[in-house]
Amino acid sequence: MMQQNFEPKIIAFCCNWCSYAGADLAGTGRLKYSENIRIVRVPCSSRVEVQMILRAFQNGADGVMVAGCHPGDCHYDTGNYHTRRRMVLLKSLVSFMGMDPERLLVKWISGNEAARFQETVDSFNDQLKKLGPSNKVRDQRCEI
Amino acid sequence: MTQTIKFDSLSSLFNALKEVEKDYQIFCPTKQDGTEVFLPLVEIKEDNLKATYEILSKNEPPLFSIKSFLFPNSEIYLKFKREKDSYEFSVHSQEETPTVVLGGKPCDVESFGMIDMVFLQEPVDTFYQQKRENTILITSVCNQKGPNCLCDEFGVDKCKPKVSDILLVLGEQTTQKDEAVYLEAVSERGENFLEKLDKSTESEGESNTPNLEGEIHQKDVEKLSPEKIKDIMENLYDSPIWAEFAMRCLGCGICTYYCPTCHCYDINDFHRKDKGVRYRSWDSCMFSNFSNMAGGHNPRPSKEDRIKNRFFHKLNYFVKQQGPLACVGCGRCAKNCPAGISIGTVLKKIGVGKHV
Amino acid sequence: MRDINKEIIEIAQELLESNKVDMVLGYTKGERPDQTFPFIAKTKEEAERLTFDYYSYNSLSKYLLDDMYQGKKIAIFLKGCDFRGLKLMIGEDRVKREDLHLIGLDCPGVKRGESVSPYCLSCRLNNVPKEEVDTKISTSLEPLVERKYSHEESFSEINDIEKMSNEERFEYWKRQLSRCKRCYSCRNGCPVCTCRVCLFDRENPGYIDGATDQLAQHQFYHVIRAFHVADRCVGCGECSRVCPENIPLHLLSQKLIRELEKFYGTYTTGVDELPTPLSTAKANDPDHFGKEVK
Repeated sequence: MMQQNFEPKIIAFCCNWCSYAGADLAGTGRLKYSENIRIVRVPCSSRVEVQMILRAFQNGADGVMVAGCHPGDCHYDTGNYHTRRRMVLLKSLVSFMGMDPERLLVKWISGNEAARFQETVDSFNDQLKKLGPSNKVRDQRCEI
Repeated sequence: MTQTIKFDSLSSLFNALKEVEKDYQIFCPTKQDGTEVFLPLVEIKEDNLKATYEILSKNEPPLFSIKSFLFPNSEIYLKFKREKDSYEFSVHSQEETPTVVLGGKPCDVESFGMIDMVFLQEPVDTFYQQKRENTILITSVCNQKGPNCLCDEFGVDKCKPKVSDILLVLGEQTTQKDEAVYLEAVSERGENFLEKLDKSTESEGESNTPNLEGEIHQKDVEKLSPEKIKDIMENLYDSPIWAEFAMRCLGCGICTYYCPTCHCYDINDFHRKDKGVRYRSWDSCMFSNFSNMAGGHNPRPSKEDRIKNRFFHKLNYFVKQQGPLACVGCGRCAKNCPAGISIGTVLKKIGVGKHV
Repeated sequence: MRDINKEIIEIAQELLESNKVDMVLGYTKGERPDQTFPFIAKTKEEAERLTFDYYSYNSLSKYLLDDMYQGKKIAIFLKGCDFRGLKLMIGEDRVKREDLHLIGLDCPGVKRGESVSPYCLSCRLNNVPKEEVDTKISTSLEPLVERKYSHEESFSEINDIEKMSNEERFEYWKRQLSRCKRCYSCRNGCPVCTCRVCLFDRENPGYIDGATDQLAQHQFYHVIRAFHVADRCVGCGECSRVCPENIPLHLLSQKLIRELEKFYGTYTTGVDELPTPLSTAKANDPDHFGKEVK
C-alpha cells in the first residue's frame, strides 16, 4: 500500500532532559533527519498518557514515537520505569485489538546520542512509508 | 390502489425487496454475534433470515428501537472552514435516498407520534422532518403482550398502530398458521411502496390479511389516564420513593438511549485547525454532567434529583405540555436496566396499575 | 435457600435493632424469579425483604461511594469479587473501614439465563475469608460449578482471538464496538472504577466525544477504560453483564491481566498488598525497548 508521495506524519513525545536534548544536539550538529516529525517536549516520558497517544492517531498521526532517558538515568529517578510498563501494556492491547502496534515506537535516547536520534527518526519514517497512511484509528469527520 | 399484498415466505419478501433496492435504503433486523441489530439489506444473507423471522414473530420489540433512523445517535449538520481571513459555513448535505425500515413494533412507531409533537412544532427540526417524510415504516404487528410490555396500559394498539406506513403480518400470527407474509398499507406512502413491490416477481398479488389469532388485548387492563397519573405525580414531588430508586440506579444511559420516546441531545464541535464540523449527539438526563452549567452550578446534583426528573418528565411534564404520557410501554427499560428500575416498577410504586 | 435468607434477615435485624448500623445494604427480589436487585434496609420491617441467591449480580461496594452514604454506619453483604473491590477502596482511602460492618458470603456463582455466568467459571476467590470481615454467613448455597477452570483455561477466549490474524482481529473488534451506544454502563457498574470525577465526565477539556458513528471514538473510550482498570480488575464480569449489546468487554481487562502476569508477576487485587502493578515500577523490569528498531 505504498503511495508515491506519501509523507507520514510522526508525532514524537520527547522528554526534556534526555531525548529532547539529543534532538537538539542533532540540530546543532547539522545532522539531517526527516522533517515529517513534530516534536512535543514533555518533562518526562512518563508524562505521556495513553489518551495522548490515541488522540494523536485519531487526529491524523501516522506514527507516534515516545522517547525517554535510558532506564536508570531518568532525571526524576523512576519516571521511565513507569513509561516502560505502560508502553508494554499499550502495545499488547493495541495488537490485541488489531490496530497496528508497529506505528508506536518507544526508544531510549540520551542527551548526547544525536546520531541515534537521527537514525531512529529516519528508519521509523521509512517503516511508516511502507505501512502507508493510518486509517484504523483515524476520526473521519475532518475528511468530509 | 394496492392495499395488501401477499408473499409466500419471508425469503420471497426479501427477494422482492432486493429488486427495488436501488431506489431505497432498506434496513432489516437480524442477529450479529448473538445480538439483535438492524443491518442494511445488502448485509443480510440467506442464513440470517432465520434470525430475522424470529425477531419479527416475537411478541416483544427488538433490542434497539428504530428511533435512530429518524433521529440518529450522532448527526453532523454543519461544516465550517477557514481560508486565510474568511470563513465558510455550509449545511451538511442530508441523505436524499428514501429509507425503508422494516421490523419496528407498533410501540416503536407510536413513539414517533410523540417525538413529532416536539420536533415538528415551531421551530421545526428540519433534519428530523426531512427524514420523517422520507422514511417508510414497515411495522411488524404483535398478537399478544410480551413479558415486559405495557402497550395496553399506554394506549398503543398492537395490531393497528396509528403511526405507520405498512403493517407486516406473519402467517403464523394469524388463523392460517402458515409461512406467508402479508404487507398491508395504512398510508399513502405505504400504498406507493407496495405498488412497486407488487410488480416484483416474488409477489403473490393482492390479498386480504387473515385475522390475527391469540388474546390480543389483555381483558382486564385499562388504558391509563394521563390526567390521573399527572395528578398523582403532583403530590409525590417530595416523596422518599425517589431516594429508594436512586439508591440502586447506576447513573448510566441505558434507559434513555433504549427508550423510543426519549429525545435529548447535545451539540458539539469537532475541529482540527482550519476546518471542522458541528454535530449533535444523544445525551442522557441520567448522566451526572447533563445539567452542568457555565459557572459550575448543577441544579440536579444527585441521582435522586435526576431520577425524579426523568419520571416527572414522562408522567407529568410531558402530559402538561403535549397531552399523552411519554411512554409507549415497549418494556426495554425493564429488560435492559442493570438495576431493575423501569416505568413499570415506578407505576407500581406510585400505586397505579395492578398488572404492571 | 430458605436457611440462608433466614440467617441474613436475623443478622440484619439484630444489627439494626442494636443501632450498630444505620442501614443494611443487601439484595432483594424483584417481580420475576430471575430478578434480584440491590436494596437498602433501614428498619426491622424492611430487613424482612433481604435475600441472596443465584441472581445477585450487582456489585454493592460501588454504591458506597455515593454521597448519600457518607458519614453513616453501613452493614454491607459482600460476595468474593465485591469484597476484593471493597478492600481496594479501603486501601485507597475512598471509604473508611470503621464506618462499615462487613458481612461476608460464600458466592456460589451467578446465573446468566439458565447457565452459569462465564466469569464465575474460573473464579477461585468467591469465598470471603472469615478473618477479614465482621460477620460471616455460615450457610452456603449449592455451588453452580463443580470443577472450576484452571488459570490457563480461563484465558481460552483470549487465545481464540489471538489466533486470528491482525486484520481479522480488527474486523472482530470493529463489529463488536460498532454496536456500542456509549451508555457508560460498563464504567458505572464496575466496582473498581472509583474516580471521584471520571476522566470522561470532565468537560474542560472535553476528553470524550459523543459521536457514535466514529469507530475512533469508541476505541478511545474502551482502550482507555481498559487501561485505567487493568491492574485493578477483580474479575466480576459486571462490565460485560450490564452491556445491553453483549460486547465482550471483559476480554480487554483479562488480556491486560495476562500481560501483567507474564512480565511482572501475578497480582491479585484485594488479596495482595497495594500498590497495584501499574502504580509502581521497578528498575529490574524486563526491558523491551532496548533493542534496535527492526
